Amino acid sequence: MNLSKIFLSSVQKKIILFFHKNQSSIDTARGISTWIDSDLKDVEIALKELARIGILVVHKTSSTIGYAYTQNKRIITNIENYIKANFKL
Amino acid sequence: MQDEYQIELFKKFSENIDFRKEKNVFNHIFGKSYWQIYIYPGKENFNPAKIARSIFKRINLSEKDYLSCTSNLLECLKRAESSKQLSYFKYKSNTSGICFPISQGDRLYGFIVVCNIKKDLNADMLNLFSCYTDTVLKEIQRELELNKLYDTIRPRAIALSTIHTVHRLISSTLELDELIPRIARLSMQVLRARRCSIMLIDSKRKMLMPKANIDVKRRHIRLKKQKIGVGIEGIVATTAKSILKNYIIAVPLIDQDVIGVITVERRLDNRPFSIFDQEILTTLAEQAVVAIRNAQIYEEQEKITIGTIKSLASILDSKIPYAYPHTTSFVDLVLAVAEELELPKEELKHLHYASLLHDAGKITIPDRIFKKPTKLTGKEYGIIKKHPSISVRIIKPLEVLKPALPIIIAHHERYDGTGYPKGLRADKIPIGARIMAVVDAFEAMICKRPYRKAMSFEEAVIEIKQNSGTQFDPKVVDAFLRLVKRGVVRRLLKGCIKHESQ
Repeated sequence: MNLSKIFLSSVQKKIILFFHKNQSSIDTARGISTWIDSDLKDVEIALKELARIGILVVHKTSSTIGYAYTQNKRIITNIENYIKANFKL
Repeated sequence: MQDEYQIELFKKFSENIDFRKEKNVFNHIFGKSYWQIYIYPGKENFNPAKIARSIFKRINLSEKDYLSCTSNLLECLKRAESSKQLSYFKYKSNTSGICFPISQGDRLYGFIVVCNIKKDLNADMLNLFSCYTDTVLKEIQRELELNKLYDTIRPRAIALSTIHTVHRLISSTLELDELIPRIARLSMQVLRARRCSIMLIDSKRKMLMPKANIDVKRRHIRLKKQKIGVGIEGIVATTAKSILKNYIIAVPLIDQDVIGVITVERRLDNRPFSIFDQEILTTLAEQAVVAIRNAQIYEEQEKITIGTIKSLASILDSKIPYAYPHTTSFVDLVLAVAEELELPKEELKHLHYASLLHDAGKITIPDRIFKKPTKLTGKEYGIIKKHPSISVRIIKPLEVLKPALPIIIAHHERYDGTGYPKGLRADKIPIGARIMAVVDAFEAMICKRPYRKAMSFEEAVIEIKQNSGTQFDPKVVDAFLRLVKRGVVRRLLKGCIKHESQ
């Protein structure tokens, strides 16, 4: 998983930072686009990509798709280290 | 003692662009003056003498001037402290200073002290300074209030949105087998736990029956029953009270009475669970109970519906003893082919209903036609061909069976369009009807009739293959043949085949 490449996308970066700060959050694309103040369509594309990579987990039903942060400790630690090294939060 | 708000206020003040502009403006008016901001440390720790000394040390004054300036500023600071209004002071013959208290209501936060003003300060100038500084202060305070509101509201809004999304995800299914594991996964996600289990009470056996046990590493682990009153879950079930320990939370699922227990274990970050986590799990449990009860009621309703339909089918079958009733496995085989084709659950349900009642219309066909050992006349065949429409007419008043009607009416259609009653072709025939056509034909072939012998299993399979693409949908035939290969068809129709071979 190449985090530098993933973080090049500003929307993907915002989504990861949001979920890393709010790890218990489960929300729809619309909800997430509100929290990170980004266009819904861009957020939907980014969410699908992050789910494909494994950074996000998808909870899907016939009427709702909820996205949540991975529970994989290794991925979370890698992201934590990357954020500490590259962002002043 | 300084608090966070006070520290933040002064940080913002010193960084504020408008405050810097104010300094520039007043330096033009006052001449180059000396500005300093001081945090008020509280009445007990307030040392105005120390402030006064620290200011005048930076301005080179003679010993004589130093003492008088310090005492004047000291008085000014005391006045500003008590009145919380701008105060000014003079020192030497031609130099002034201003002391502006930074306050909000009765609370004093600090002072802005301006010294070395080489101009006489009149009331207008002091008013101007007061208004300008007040405006800047109010802007900063508003910004801090908004930040505080944002910091307070945002996490709560995000948590509320999570609860809402979880509610939507839980409410979107009425299948218990799908619902309970989903509740467990969502609970594990929200609480960042390594494991979540859900147990429901079996009141007859006085046991808690495990329904979901999800672990973050191994998705499915061995499920164990638990006696009520024993173990953490058993105690929660008895007392109807939650248990919170460092590494486990168990919350009762309550719908008038306790119906089960939901338990989460071990946070991913290894921190102990808190009261806040318990509150969240309690909220999730309340949502879960509603969803579980809805699913249970739906399941009971489905059982009643199926039971009613089976009774109706039995009554109809008993009225037409010569109408070659299907084997008891007919429905099972139709559903097996449908599952092999991965039809959605809702379609499986309608197909189930259709397969029980599709021949209801045969009740109008005279027995002599069923018992006839020779070929039917055109007129007699015409009577037979009406039975799908009559089946529909009989069943139509039952609202719950409405989705099954298109399957019932089309179960004698042929893939090549030469069937009846409407001559539908290929995909225009509902998939349920295409499945029933294959199973119906196969079963008829391996069963004896007054006008012919039963075929062997193998002969019937060949016949199905040969009619793929004409009478039967090739996709359905392939699915059927896969079941033949796996022995499913032979197993389900064992009674019929064995009976006929005797």
